[in-house]
Amino acid sequence: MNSITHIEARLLAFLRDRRYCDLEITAETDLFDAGVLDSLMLLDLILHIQEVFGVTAVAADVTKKNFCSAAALARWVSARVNGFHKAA
Amino acid sequence: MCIAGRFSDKPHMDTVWPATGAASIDSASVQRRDLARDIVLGGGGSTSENLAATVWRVAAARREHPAILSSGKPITYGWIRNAAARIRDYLLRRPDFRPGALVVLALENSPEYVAAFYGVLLADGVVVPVSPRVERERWQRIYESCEPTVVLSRKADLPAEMFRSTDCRSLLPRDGEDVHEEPDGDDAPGAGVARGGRDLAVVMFTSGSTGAPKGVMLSHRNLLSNTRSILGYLPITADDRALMVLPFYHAFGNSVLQTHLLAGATLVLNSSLAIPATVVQALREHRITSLSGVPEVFTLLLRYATWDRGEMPDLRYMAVAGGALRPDLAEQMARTIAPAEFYVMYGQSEATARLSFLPPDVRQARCGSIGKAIPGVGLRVVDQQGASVRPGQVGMLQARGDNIMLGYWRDPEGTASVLSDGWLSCGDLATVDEDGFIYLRGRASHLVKLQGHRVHPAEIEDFVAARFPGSQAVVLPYVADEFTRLALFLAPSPGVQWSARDVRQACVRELPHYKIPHRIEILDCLPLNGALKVDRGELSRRLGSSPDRRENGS
Repeated sequence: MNSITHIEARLLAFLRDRRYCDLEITAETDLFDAGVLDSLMLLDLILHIQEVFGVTAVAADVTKKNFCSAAALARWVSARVNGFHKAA
Repeated sequence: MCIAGRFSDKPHMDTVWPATGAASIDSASVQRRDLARDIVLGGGGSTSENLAATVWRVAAARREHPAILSSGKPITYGWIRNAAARIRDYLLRRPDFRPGALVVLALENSPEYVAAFYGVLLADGVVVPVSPRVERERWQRIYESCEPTVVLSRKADLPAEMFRSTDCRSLLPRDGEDVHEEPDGDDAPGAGVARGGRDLAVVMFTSGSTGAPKGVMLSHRNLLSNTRSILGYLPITADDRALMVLPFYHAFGNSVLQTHLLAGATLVLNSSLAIPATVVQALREHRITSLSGVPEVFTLLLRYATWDRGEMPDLRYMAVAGGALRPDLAEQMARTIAPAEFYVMYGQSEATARLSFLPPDVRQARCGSIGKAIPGVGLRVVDQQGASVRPGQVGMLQARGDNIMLGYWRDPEGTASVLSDGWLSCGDLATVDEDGFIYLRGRASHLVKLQGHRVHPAEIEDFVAARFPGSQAVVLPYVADEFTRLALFLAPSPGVQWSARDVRQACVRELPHYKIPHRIEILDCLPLNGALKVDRGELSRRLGSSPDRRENGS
């Protein structure tokens, strides 16, 4: 249901819907290098993940490692959805 | 090296703002202060002073000191000096280059940007900074309007085929080259510079009151004056390491660049600073002394950063401008970084950058105020007849000083609409309290501030109308999750079916991200008011009454 590939696909759809960039965004695209992430986009991504997957980000989650690509985001979301909950 | 004294040493309230009375009092103390610390500031400012020549002198005295830390790599003032000289020489060799020629910089924050900026001015050219991510249509308009002689960019920054540009990296010193030797037998390049003073130095494109891009023309004197005013109230020193999260091509980012280079300080660049944890890490790792940002940056830092103030012993201040940060968030930020100080500031491109600031020690007492005029600037609030208002009465905010722009590029009408008798109409409604502190009370026009960028709803309305002929579009700002966003209401021409998705795709393809409406609604027809005009008030109420986020992104 919320498999990692499914999560990845939904995140990619969200990113493509919000941001044009010359490179087509793929799961591995570095969102920083592609200029996709700025403060507003970051906030919207956090809110989107909260809404769609029920995962609430805390400070420790919002890291470069978790947000550097759609694949990384999906790994983080999937870990949280599948019960590796951190204390908020 | 003597630079700015501690803030608390200075009688910052000498910029007296008259609570009542007709004329404002400009600060006379700035000049005095400049003379006291002119080693770095380069002699107190002759009337024909060239900004780059002044920075050049600073750089000569700081040759081995890092001007920039770029992804951890130090770029010295010696390198900047040498690299700027190469850019200058390249331009002077071009047969089509004349004094006063316009040179576009389409560069992200980088050592190349800084070298090119001063190189162009050393060649007596005029800098036109443009975001390398500028949307096609806007670029076209800017290009046609300013007919640049040269466009300088980097391969890494080039967005597709949009810019036919010179790769300025190819002009610059390579790794390992000794850049500390004196560039081309010229130890006093100021002597070779013909332009300065009131001559045009920079054209900065921004959104005007009608939505079309307007080129704010800034002289050497404008830039030097505003830079010195800022050095007069922010405690910037030659040992500072400022974390740069603002783009150089923006007026606010440009002011951070100029103040720190003139002070001989270091700017720390980093490409992934959207992440709050990365900002905090950079603050710690590079022992950052200051951070300047737009409100959105601080909102995110407060929400998603973990602070250990003990790990930032060198942090002395943070400063917000480019939009209003909610006063309670400003207080929260101030508490978070204490004993470092938090400055609330105000300005606009037409004033080079800065107009006012709120001293940290009165911030709480004057909650929500933008403070008073910075040194060298006069501010007043006037009624429709041009008379100063009484305390508490709403009027128009106006400014004067050596930082006020020459005018808009090739737009005498637009210039006349905001400049008269030496006063700039800021476009903001404001009140003043009994002690002269200024409070903003909304925009006099429809301009909106989004992540520090000034946007006119008409820009997006015109864009949509052009892409979807026959449709009627209205764009309105609203606030959600503490960020200002745009909503687009579109009524297609009869019989035509357009989905919100079609419209969104067109926006995403062609508009810069901050202009993309967050919420797009297709309506059968737009509500009209009694005068049969589109009822923006009704649409605004709609935005207030249905904050359902799920609609927003679709």
